[in-house]
Amino acid sequence: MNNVRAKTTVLIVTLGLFLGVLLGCPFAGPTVISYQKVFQSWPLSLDNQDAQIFFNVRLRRVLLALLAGGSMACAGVVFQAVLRNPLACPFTLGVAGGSSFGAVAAILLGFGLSVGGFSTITLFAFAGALLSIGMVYTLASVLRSYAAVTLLLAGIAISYFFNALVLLAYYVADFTQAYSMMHWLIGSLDVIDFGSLEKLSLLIGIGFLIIFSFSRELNLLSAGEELAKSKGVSTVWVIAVSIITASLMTSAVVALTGPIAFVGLIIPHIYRIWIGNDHRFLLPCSVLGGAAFLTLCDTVARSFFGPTEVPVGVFTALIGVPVLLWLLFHRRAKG
Amino acid sequence: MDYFKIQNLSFCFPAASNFKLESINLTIQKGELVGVLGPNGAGKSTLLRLMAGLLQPLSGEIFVESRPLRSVRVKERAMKIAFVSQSTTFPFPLSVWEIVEMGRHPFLGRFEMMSAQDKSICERALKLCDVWDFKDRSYNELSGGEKQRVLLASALAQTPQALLLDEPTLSLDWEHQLRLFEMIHKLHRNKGLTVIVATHELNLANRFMDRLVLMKKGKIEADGQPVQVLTPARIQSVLNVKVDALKDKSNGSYFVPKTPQAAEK
Repeated sequence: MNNVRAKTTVLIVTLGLFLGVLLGCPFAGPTVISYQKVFQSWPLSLDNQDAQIFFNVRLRRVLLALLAGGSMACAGVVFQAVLRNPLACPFTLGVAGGSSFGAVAAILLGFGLSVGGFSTITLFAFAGALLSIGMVYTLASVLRSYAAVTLLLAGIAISYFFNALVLLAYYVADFTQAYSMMHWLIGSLDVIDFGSLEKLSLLIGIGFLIIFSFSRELNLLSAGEELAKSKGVSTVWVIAVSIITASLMTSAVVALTGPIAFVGLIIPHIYRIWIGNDHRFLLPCSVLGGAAFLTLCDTVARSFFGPTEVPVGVFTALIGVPVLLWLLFHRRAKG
Repeated sequence: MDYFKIQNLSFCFPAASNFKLESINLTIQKGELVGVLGPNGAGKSTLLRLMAGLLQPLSGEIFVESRPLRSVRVKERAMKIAFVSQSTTFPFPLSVWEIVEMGRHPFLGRFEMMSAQDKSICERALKLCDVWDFKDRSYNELSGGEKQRVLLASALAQTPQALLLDEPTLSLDWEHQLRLFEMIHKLHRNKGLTVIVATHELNLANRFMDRLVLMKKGKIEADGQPVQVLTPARIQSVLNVKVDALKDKSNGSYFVPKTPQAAEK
């Protein structure tokens, strides 16, 4: 799609969807709350139960879902462009494996400390993600090659390694530990406090701006490393900065939510089919669309299965896969 | 005036020990039209990539307008030297216009949009290469000849002084081979571009190029006017093929490989 106006329309529609989700989803849930009562009094009073539910429970969770969905989709766009592989996702370089290992290690060891408002599991998961990225890069630099295929293979190798360790931890864990490991590994959104949300959104915001400033370089890189180089892109620098930024964003999110699958794969895919490969549009559209998609999935997962919840990681896959398949067949039919 | 000056250039790939370029010395004048010939693995493409700054030499130096190439910033290099690779398929769908637009990258700041002037440069490049009519089509759906012309247009959008083409006629039929060489020749003549073409097309190179560089096993075997460089004896020693030389109308030569080659070995 070449028409700038058409792409802008898609961007505006996506922005509308994003805002609709941001304002609408906190009202959905097993307990019905009224719009008027929520905004009746400020500051929040303890006896205004509707406002309590809205601000302290649902809005926090919606904000986390938006941040998580947006940054996964953003990272997905980056990994696909830089590795020139439409199947790449934020977890391709082993971030999911590393953070899963960190989380299950924390559960197994059972430490109860907390730093800066983040739990041990979160901190360990973040450290694990950083460890896996470090290992992938060390492997690549030992091989003296930062080519897409080297990074991909190194990432897959590291993932398998950590997955084996996760299984081992799962095997030796007792029943309650195993349950909370499983819960974490599926990926789910829990309510976190506003302070943590603030830190997370700052990190993700800066990360997005860095990546967005590389839009044109990503356009060129997604066509080929040599082509990009011959057109004046400092490829090694752009690849390193964008992949590290995307990995950090993913690590931070995954540390809080667990590895929620498919958002980072499907959302960039859908927008690539829809508006094409221009990252100046693809990045903001995917971020807003990913945020809205994950939040909608989570809203459905927590609202319609009361009194329990379905983990959102299950839901993103159940909804996302048919959508993606439909789009692929649709595109094939169009030629 | 010297445009490229290559001094004692050596290069090898870390993983391929049987291939290397050794002590290459070559000077190319501004505005020259040079063909680089040689068998597979002679180092033609590698030499072009070194000159385009896509590979770093192991030792020796490449000067561009008397400046060492490795001291030229990446974006500035892309304003001077454009490289056209063999036509490939891209992993994601890209339109012809998007690919040609990429040629303006070195001229744009980080947050700068293309100006009307940038757009008209792209438009001219598309028209020069005869691909304006399908600027909105998807590159991956084009034929081989069209793809090659789009890549050429993208290189021209860089408004370069030198154009390096790596086997541009590979997998093209006769008509498109001829048309591409005519196009390259016209660009050289009308715009004064310094053009270097690595190719296997002996006869086309013989007919269109001003100067030929013949390579074998990473070394330059012969360098000069086509008449001096291409002789049946030398073709046999470098390319390992016996040829007949036929005179054409303008008293140049046409080389026809003798068959069967295998039986004579």
